[in-house]
Amino acid sequence: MILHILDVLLKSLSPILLLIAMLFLVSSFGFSVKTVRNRLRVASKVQHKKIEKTLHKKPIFQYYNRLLLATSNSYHPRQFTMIIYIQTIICVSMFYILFLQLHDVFFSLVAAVLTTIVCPIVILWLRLYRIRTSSQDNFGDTIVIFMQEYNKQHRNIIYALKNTTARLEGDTKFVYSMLLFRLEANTIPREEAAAIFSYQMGDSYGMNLSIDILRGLHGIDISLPLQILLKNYVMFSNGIKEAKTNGRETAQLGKIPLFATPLLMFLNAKFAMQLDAWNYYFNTSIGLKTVIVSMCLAIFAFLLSIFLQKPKQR
Amino acid sequence: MSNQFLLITNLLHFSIVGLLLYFTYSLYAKSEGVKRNRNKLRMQIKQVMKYKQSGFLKHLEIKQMNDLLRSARLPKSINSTTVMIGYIFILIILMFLSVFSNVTGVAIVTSGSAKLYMILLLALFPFPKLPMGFVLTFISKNYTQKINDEVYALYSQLCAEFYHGEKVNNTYHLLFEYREYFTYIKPAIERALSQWNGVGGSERAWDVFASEIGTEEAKMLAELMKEIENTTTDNALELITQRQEEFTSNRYNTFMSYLKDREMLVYVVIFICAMSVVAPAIVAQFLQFGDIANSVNDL
Repeated sequence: MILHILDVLLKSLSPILLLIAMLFLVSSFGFSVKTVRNRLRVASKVQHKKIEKTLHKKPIFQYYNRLLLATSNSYHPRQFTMIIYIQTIICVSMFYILFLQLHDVFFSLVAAVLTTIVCPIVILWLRLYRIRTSSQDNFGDTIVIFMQEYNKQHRNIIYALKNTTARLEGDTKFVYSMLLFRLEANTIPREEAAAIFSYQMGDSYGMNLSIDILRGLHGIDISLPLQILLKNYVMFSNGIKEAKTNGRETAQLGKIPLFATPLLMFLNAKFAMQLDAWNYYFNTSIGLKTVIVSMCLAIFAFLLSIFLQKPKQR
Repeated sequence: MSNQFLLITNLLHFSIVGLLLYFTYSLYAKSEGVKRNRNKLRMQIKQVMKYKQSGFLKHLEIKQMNDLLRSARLPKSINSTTVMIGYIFILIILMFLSVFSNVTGVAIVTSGSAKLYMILLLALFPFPKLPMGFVLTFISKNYTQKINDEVYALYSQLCAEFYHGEKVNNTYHLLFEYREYFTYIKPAIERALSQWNGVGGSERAWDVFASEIGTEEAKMLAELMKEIENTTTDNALELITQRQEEFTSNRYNTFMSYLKDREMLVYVVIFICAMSVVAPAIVAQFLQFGDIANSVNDL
């Protein structure tokens, strides 16, 4: 027994022992922890730039960064590397814990990746979808307000944006106020702020509006382009408003599984089973896996139905 | 503790030790200036992949798969040959592991997990009318939608410029100014601008623009702009207003097809989620059935 425990201890500790031994070995080449720590502290800015270069070059990271910028108001691009590190650490630890509990590589890997990497992206994407639907539905009204304010403020874009945000509500207000904030605060370049604005709109009309705003900031008169944009939009959107709700109505059925799954489990345990059902649900590996998967799917369907609801009309 | 668990912990242990040994070797090699001569093999592999002259690699070129992968704008290193070689490699490893587990009795790849892996491999195979094929076509549709949005935005910006009347700049200048605001069609615009003062003139440039993007809306815009180049500004405004309806109807049709696709997608997702309602109850019933059958057999 003691030998077995010693064996396990040695096996689990041997990597750490090896690391320490390696440190001693490497220090004989002239390596010391102190200098490395100091160097890291001094060169954190350089390192950040290096990481930014490598991370932002990859299209997946670029997409994630833009998604975060488009959906949350308290995010700054310098937090990006930290978010990635935290996600990977949580993913690895969750995989390790699940593997120790379930002894199943495949399931624990899939569960860890789904909960830590895929779920946040899907939730952000659904939030972006909601922002897009509300801003597209209110596009005609907002552009009328913007034109009024633009003429009222003697063709000053910043003041016009400031007054339009005061007159808006909900996610549309979020989009315009974030554009105003980013144009004023200079946290990111103006062109990027306008690109994120058009990404939040998700439409060629939003792209036109962002281009017009950028040109207006350079001092070009944009009252005529705005009028033409409004005319084009009205021509396009007349026959489409009713067809837009097609997918949203079926999505409302997605609210059912969150309540139906526990109810059916309870009814099954109460009336249909002869042995103890809860034992099968939570005390066997297959039962626990199916319960986890079905509850995750039910929560996902519920979130989908909430995000696909019709936005409030002003 | 199961055999599989012990084996994997051992594997992890040895891999960590191996990594540490590799790091020490690399440190030593860097300090001593030792260069490993592995470039030769890499060059040989590159040569073979580039020219594909050997008989085996010729059979791995599948046109449908290549078209699908190119339409989704994936990197060029992912083509039919690399995908097929990867699949063959994975299958060989799976077969080796299953034989190994049969011989030693340590269940790394059980029959159930082997079936799961095979289903996964089939689901991830990039070919039309398989699950991954649908995903790739969805991606390519999304991409063309983005390009069309940008083309339409360019069209309406040019429209707004022509409504100004007398103060219109020449189109070269306009394109040069507007190219900064677009991401997807920016290379095509720059390619067209480089052709502007060449042999064919502006017509050749618009042809290049249309062929570079390759969508129907780009062709329509190119033809409209070719006509505008040959007329005065007053006639240009008339031409633009005539073509407006064509553009909006085209846009309307694409938007309606997008709505249909979205409805289908939402329906499928909700249906899959609804199927999971009955899953725990059915699993519990099956387990109970197995237990009862076992107890009956024991009697």
